[in-house]
Amino acid sequence: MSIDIRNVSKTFGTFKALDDVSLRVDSGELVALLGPSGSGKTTLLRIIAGLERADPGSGEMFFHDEDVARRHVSARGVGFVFQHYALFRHMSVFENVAFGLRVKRRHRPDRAFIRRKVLELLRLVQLEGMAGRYPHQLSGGQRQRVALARALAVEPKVLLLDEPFGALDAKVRKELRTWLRRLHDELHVTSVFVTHDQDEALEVANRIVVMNRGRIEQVGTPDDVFHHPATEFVMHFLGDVNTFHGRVNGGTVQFSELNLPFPENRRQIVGDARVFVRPYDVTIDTKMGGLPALEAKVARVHSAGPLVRVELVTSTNQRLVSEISQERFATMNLAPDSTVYVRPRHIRVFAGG
Amino acid sequence: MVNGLHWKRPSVLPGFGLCMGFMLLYMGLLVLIPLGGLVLFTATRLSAAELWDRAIADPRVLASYRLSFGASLIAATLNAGFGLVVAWVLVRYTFPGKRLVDAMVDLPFALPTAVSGIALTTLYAHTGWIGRWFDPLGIQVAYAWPGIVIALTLIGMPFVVRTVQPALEDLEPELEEAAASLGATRWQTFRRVILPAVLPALLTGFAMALARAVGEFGSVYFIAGNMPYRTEIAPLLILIRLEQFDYVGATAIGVVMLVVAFALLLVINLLQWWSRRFQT
Repeated sequence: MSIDIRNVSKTFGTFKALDDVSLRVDSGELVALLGPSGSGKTTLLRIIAGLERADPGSGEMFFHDEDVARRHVSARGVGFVFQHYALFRHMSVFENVAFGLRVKRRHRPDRAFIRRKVLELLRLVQLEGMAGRYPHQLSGGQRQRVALARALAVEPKVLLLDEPFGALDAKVRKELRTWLRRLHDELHVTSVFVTHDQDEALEVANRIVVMNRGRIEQVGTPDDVFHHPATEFVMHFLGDVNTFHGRVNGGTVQFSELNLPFPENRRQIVGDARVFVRPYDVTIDTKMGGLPALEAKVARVHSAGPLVRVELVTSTNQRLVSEISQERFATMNLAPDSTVYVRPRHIRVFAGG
Repeated sequence: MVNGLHWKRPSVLPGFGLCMGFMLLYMGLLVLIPLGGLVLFTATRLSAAELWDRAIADPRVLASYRLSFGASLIAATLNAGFGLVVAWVLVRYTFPGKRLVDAMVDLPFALPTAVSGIALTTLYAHTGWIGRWFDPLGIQVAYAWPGIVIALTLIGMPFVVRTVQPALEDLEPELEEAAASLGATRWQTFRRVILPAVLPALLTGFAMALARAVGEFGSVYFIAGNMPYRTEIAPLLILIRLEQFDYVGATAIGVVMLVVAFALLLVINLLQWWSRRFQT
């Protein structure tokens, strides 16, 4: 079931939560809405679910070419998973999962069917044997899996997850997102999830929708948005970045005593520009090589981690960060205040001062 | 300390001994000694057979129990229903004058019960503003049992509202959204999600309203008409016995009421315990 959102806006009082947003989610996709808090990602998800109405007169919404904009949430056929689980505390795990089947008015399945279906779902979310427990007897990760099973019980056409792992601790979160990815590969139900964690989005989603201030900044595959960010915001939001101010001159950009050719797809930029370099794209040498490089002093070294993080200050007092491999670090003998030569391997240039 | 029986567990909260002692003193002075004295007074002056004859088998006393507990149960049930609605409105909706209404809920607590009794009597008498509409239908409100129920409902109302209100406020809106997304109608959501969640609080409110109604005297005194066998509540009968200097007869009725009330509260507490089984 595809989702088609066209020109949707949503205002809360004077705050514009969504500003003319259009998005298409194809059938069977797993799409992440990624953005900082207040970017409108949750509002968009809730509008898809029907828990929130778009501004009157704005926008259209289709599920597989069927207009659902004015359809109540209970008739949309969506499964919704909340950040804080929203399990029914007075019901056992079994009853929670069975809820959607028990409240059906037309074609209510019989007891045997419900039982079979619920146990099958509990197996799917790896909670066999927990059917008789109450939510307060489960861990956060288990609760969220119950919530997922409950949402899947009604066989939703669309599965919507609002920061599903946001309330869990880091380790459980990692396990669950890998597991969600596998589950989606099995079920192929069109899914949209909201997150502010770029690692989560990059790892789990087929496509990422980066949002900021009620607008969509970029839509693309994880590779696209990570390696080819369309805007400065996306560049900043997906990982650490070093920022320089520079000027474009012909085919090169000049910044901090460096003059580098810059990517061809940005050739329309003229004049003041901003240059971005990811820390792992900053190479360090102890000797001045033949290539253009910046002279810098080492300020700090963090070597605990898969990569070594080196904080540097250039001769023009510009701060920047480099990430190098442990092996390379071992060959260099870097200490605070030692002089090094740094060179950006890949740069991205955006217009503006 | 004896193994297996720990009065006191190590705790970061100081003052267990002091607080426990204070609680015992407080409960003793206010509850245990007066009520124990009542039982002792009766037990030393009446044999079991006499107690039976005077405080249970006497048809006039029996009728007063039936009226007292019956009307109280009806009133507490009405309060559970309407109190839930009032709490719901106060929690879920915003409307002009909401704070005023919220404050008014407590008025029955503050008002001398005689005042509310007289006011209700004036209103529901067969010539009163409301009573006159019931009179042609042959329904007598004041000076009959419906009047008693109304008086008891009034004085018990705050209990249900004030216990259910916080429970409703604690209910996350996500629960209702979850139920709706799973296809439940508003009614199904109320029946299966909201009501079970507030049931423990509702039962507490019910128990308190019931207890208050059983013990109520002032407002009923004015609206009941106090006809023996028909509109005479047990607390009034105790007063009548006292006025006849029949102290033993008065305390005997008191003891029976005490036992029945305690049994009722115990049952409600068990129900509450059961309704909270899903909580930590």
